[in-house]
Amino acid sequence: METESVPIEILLVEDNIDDVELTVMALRRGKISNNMHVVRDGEEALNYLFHRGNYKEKEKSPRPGLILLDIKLPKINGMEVLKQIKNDRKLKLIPVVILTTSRRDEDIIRSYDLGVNSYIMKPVEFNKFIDVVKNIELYWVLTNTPPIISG
Amino acid sequence: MKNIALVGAGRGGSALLPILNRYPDIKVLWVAEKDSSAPGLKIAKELGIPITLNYMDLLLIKGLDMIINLTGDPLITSELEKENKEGIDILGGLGARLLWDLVYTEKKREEKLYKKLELAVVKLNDMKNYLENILEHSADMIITTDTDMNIVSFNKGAEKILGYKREDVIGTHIKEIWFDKDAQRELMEKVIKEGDVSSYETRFVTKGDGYIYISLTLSQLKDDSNKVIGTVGISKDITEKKKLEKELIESNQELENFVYTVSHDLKAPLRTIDGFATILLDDYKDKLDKDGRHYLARIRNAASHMGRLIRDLLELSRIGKVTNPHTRVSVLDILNKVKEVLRYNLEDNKAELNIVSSLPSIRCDRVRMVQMLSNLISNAIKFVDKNKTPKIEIGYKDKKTHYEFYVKDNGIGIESEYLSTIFDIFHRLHNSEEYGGTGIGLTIVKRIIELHNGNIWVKSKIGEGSTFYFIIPKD
Repeated sequence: METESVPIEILLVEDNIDDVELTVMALRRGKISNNMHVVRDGEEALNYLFHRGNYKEKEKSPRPGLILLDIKLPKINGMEVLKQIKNDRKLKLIPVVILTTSRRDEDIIRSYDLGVNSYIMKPVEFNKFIDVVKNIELYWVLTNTPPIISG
Repeated sequence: MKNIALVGAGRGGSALLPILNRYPDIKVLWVAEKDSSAPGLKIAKELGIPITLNYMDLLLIKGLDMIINLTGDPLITSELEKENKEGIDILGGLGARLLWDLVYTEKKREEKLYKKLELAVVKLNDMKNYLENILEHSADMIITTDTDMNIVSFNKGAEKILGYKREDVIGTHIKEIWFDKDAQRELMEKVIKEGDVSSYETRFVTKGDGYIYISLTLSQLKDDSNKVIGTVGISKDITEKKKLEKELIESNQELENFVYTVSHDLKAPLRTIDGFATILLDDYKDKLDKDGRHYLARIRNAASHMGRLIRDLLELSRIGKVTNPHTRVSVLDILNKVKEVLRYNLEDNKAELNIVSSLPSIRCDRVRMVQMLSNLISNAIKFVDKNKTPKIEIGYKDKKTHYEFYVKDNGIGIESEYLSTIFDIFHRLHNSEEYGGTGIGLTIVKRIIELHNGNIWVKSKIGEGSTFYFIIPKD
């Protein structure tokens, strides 16, 4: 398949270093080639996506094909990041998957209100987490047909 | 018309005067009495009858038809007769006596009636005072208004609760002491339309411009002819209740935050523990010996147990807070869903599930009911002797006001001393190597049953199995 040869750009917004590492490892086991970009708080995520601050050079911050977003983040929380992505004419086309431990109904409802593409709870067991990550990739990267983005 | 004059205003006169006064064709023109303390004189004065000291004056009255001598003194009669020039009838002696007797009997009878009447009035008054006392001294606030909503009465309870003196508020419009003005208008309209409103929660202004919460029951006041003459409101001070409600909401909020912390912050390190232990086991297999791998496996088991504990605790805290609407659902539907949920568990353990035919429908939170029965049935599957296959029977009895369901198993049974405590949180009867679990499952079951106004209990014999009974009210 063509997609296998082109690595997917994935933006991971996660403040917990352990979770970052585990997500990278889980993705590696998913056998889908990807370029993982990690940002550690909400502000950095927005800087990356809008090419601001440390991410002024567009080559350093390629447009992701998938965003994995935690809710509880330093500085600007995940909800605000999600809102700004979904309010942007171009960015809103990128699939955003909330990957969190919160099962608060208000978080879930608000996420979908803001236009999240998936809301997924991180399981405690690593093997289940690998399954989850595999499914996310499979669905949003391989199964899903995104709209064609120009320029 | 007969014009009459009386001699003597003693007992006889005082009895006769009011009686004669009642007859429209008799007019008493004068009374003669020389004793100024005679009781009849007062009556004569009240009736506007002139009095003379000298009975001989009576003969000079123009148009007089009769003189009645009530003194019993024959000398007076004969003296009057002697000077009688106008032909006035003079009644004395036996005649006056007869009249006196007649009047006296009549008077006695009247007095008796009057006493009875007086007694009745006293009783009525007592009753009135009694009722007024109840209203007055009730700890509840009782306020009446006229149809213009001006305050007519204001009891002690109202003075105590609101702090005003009644003289300061009687006559003022009720809205002056009503804090929620919109509620006042809305309520008044409702009372006029529907006749009464009960247990309406609103706020009244207290002296010094504060407010208190009250629960108000307001009704129309009507007179004998069923005409509305105003309203009567009876209220309880519910400030304390409101305070408790607020505290409850706040502590629920705290719990909510706590639950959020637990779910997010306590699970994160667990994920790290299990994640790296798994990576170690997978990627560094060859560098670890058997013991090393065994210890890692135990770390992973502990992490996953902790994960389940957190999950169950979260679930428990969510019951009652997150409620789905109650709908009418057939119990068979619920059980079919349970079978779906427990499919692998049932298959792996070769469990036999016998469900009696014709199960009823109940009003319930379907999602919670599925959860409740899944917990009960998975317990029945779990707590079975290793060399037996689980046999579970589910049935019910139709009672008058409720259904009594049972879930019967052929498991290891529960010792009688633990029957009452097995629903307590974290109460486990076995170590986790024998039978795993978090000790929260039955607590969740009980909470769900209680949320449906039901009740749950268990009967059991060691080695023979347990039967869990639970009741769900019919509507």
